[in-house]
Amino acid sequence: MVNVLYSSNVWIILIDGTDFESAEESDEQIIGRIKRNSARTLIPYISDYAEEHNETMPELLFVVTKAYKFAYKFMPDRIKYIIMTAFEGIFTEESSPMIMLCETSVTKAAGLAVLSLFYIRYAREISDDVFQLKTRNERIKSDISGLYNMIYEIESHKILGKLPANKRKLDSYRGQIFSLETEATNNRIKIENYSNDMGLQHLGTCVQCMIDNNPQMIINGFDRINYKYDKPVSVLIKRHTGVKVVFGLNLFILCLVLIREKIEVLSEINVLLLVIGYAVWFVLFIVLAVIFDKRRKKRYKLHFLNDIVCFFYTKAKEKK
Amino acid sequence: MASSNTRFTALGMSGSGKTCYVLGMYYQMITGVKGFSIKAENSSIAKLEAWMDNLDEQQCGMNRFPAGTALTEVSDYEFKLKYALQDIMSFNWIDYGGGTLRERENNPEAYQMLLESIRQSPVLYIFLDGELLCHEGSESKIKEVKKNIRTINGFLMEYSEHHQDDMLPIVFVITKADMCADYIDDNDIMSIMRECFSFLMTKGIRFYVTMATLGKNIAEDGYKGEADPKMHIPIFLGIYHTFLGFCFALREEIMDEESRNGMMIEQNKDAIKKERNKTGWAFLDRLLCDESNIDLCRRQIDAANETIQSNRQLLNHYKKLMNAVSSQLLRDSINFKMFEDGVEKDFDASESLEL
Repeated sequence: MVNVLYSSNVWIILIDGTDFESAEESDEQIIGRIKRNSARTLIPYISDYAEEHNETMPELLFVVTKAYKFAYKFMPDRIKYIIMTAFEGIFTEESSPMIMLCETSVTKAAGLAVLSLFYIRYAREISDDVFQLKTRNERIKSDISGLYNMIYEIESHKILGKLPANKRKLDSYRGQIFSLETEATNNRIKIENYSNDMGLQHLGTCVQCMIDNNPQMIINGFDRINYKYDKPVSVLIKRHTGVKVVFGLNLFILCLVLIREKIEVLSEINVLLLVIGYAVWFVLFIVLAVIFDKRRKKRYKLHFLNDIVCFFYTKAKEKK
Repeated sequence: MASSNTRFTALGMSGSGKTCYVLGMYYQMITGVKGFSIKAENSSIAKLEAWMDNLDEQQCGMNRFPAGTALTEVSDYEFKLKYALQDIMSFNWIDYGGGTLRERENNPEAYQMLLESIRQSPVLYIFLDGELLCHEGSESKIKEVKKNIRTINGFLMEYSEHHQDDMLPIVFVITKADMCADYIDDNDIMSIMRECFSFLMTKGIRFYVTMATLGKNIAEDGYKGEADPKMHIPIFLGIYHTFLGFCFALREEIMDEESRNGMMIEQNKDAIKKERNKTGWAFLDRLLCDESNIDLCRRQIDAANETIQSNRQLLNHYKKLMNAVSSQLLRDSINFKMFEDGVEKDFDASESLEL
C-alpha cells in the first residue's frame, strides 16, 4: 500500500462525516475526534511522502463524506475551520489544500474530486512546459543578439572581414542564427498549441461548470481552478433567480400557445410564429442574463436557442 | 535540514512529567500546530502510538498515562520538526528515570549517559511538578520547590560550568498546569525563580518559564477527562535557539563561499580581458585570441554565479523557516515568560531579525 501511496502524486483524503454529526458539540470536541480518527494516522504518511519527494506535498483533496447528515447544521466556514485545525500541520498560509463535501450523490462528488485534481495536474504540466519553452526562447533571443553583435564586429572591418577565416566564421554564425530562429519559431508554435489545448479547455469547462453548479459542495481551495469558460445558457438558468423567472414565463407562454391551438402537430406558419415569438423572449432573456452576470464579463453561447429551432424545424419536416 | 545531532535533555525528579511530556508533545504535534508538525523516527513510533491510544482510553483513569521511566532506562526519541512538511531540523529527546539523578553510585552507567547528554544539549529543560505548586501562599510553594530541586540544581551548576563562555538557554516547564493554574500567578513564578534559582538571575543567562498540560480537564472525575495537550511551547523554544544557531552558522559559511566565488569571477573576468588584449594592437589581438580559453572562463563565471544563486536561495529558504518559528513563538509569547540578565523581559525574537 505504501508503495502505491508514495507513487501517487494526488491524494483524496476521505473524512468520515459522522465525526460532524452533533452540531451542539464544541469545535474542539469535533477537532479532537477527527484528529484521533484520521489526522493522527494520515499526517505521518503525507509527511513520509514529502520526505521522499523533495519536501513537496502531494496534491491533496479532503472529501468529507455523508454530508447529508450534517451539512445543513454547519456553516461552510465552520467545516473549513474544523478540518484546517484538525490537519494543522498541513494547512499554512502558503498551502491550503482543497476541501469539499460529498453528499448523497456520490457519483457527482467523485466526478468533481477526480476531475478537479486531474485538471490541476494537467494545467500545471502544461504551464511548466510553457514556462520552459518561454525561458528557452528568452535564452535563444539573447544568443541570437550575441551572434549578430559578433557578425557586426567582423563586418565592420573592411579588409579583415573579407579574410577567408572570417568569412567562414560569418557563415557559421548565420547558420547558428537560422537554426536558433527555427527553434524559437517551433517553440512559439508549441506554446500556441498549448494555449489552445482542447483537452485542457474541455476539462476546465467541465470542472468549472461542476464547481459553479454545486456551490454547496465546495468548502475551500477550489478558487485556484477558476477556469474562464464560455458559459452556456443552461448554467445561467441554474444560477440566477431573475433568469429563472424569465425562462419560466417563456415556457408558460409557449404552453399557452400550444393549448390554444389544440395541436398535436403544428402548421408551418405556426411554427414560424412560434420561433419568432420565442426569439423575442430569448433576446429579453439574454439581456437579463447579461445584466445579472455583468460582473463576470462572460460571453454567452446560444446553445439553447439552437436546440429550440432545431426541434421545431424537425417537427415541421416530419409533418411535411 | 539542520543538524541531526541536536539533543535536548530534560531534568526533573520522579513524577515530574518528563515522559508524559514526550507523549503530550507528540500527541499535539503529530497533527500539527499552525503548520508545524513533528514526525517520530521508526524506532519510537510504535511506542508513542500505543501511548497515544492508551491516553485516549478515558475510562482507564490514572492507567492512561505511561508508567514512569525505569531507573536504568534511558530512552532516546528521535524527532523531526517540519513546517508545511518541509524539514526544519531533527533532534533527539533524551528521557531517563527521574531517580537516576540521585542514584549516581548504584546506576553509574545511566548517570554517565545523563551527564554526557547534558553536556551536549544546546538547551536544557527543567521539569517542575505542577502538583507541588498547588498550595496557597508563595512561601509554601517555594518551600516545596526548594525541596524538589536540590538535586537538580547540582546538575544545573554542572551544565553552566560546561557552557561558561556561551551559556545556552534553560527552559523551565511547569507540568500539570491544569491542576496548578489556579494556584499560581506571575508574582509566584517570579518569587519561585528568585528564591529557588537565584544563581541563574545573573548577567548573560537567559531562561524561560512555561506551563504544560495534557488537557485542561484531564484530571476530572478521577483522570477521566479528555486529553488535549498544550505542550508545544517548550520544544519551540529549544528549536528556536538551536535553529537560529544553525542559520547563523550557515549564513557565515555561505558568505565565505560567496566571497570566494566573487574572487573567482573577478579573476576569470581579468583572464578574459587579458586574452583579448595581448598586444594592444586590435587586429593582432583578434588573430591571437584563443576563443576556447574565453569559453572556459565564461563557464567558470557561470558556475560561480550559479553557486552564489543557489546558496542565496538556500539561505532564504532557511530564513523563511526561521521566520515561521519566531513568528509562532511571538504569537505564543503570552504563554511563557523570559528572564534575561536577572530581569523579566518581553520575548521579541530580535536575534532572528539579524539573520
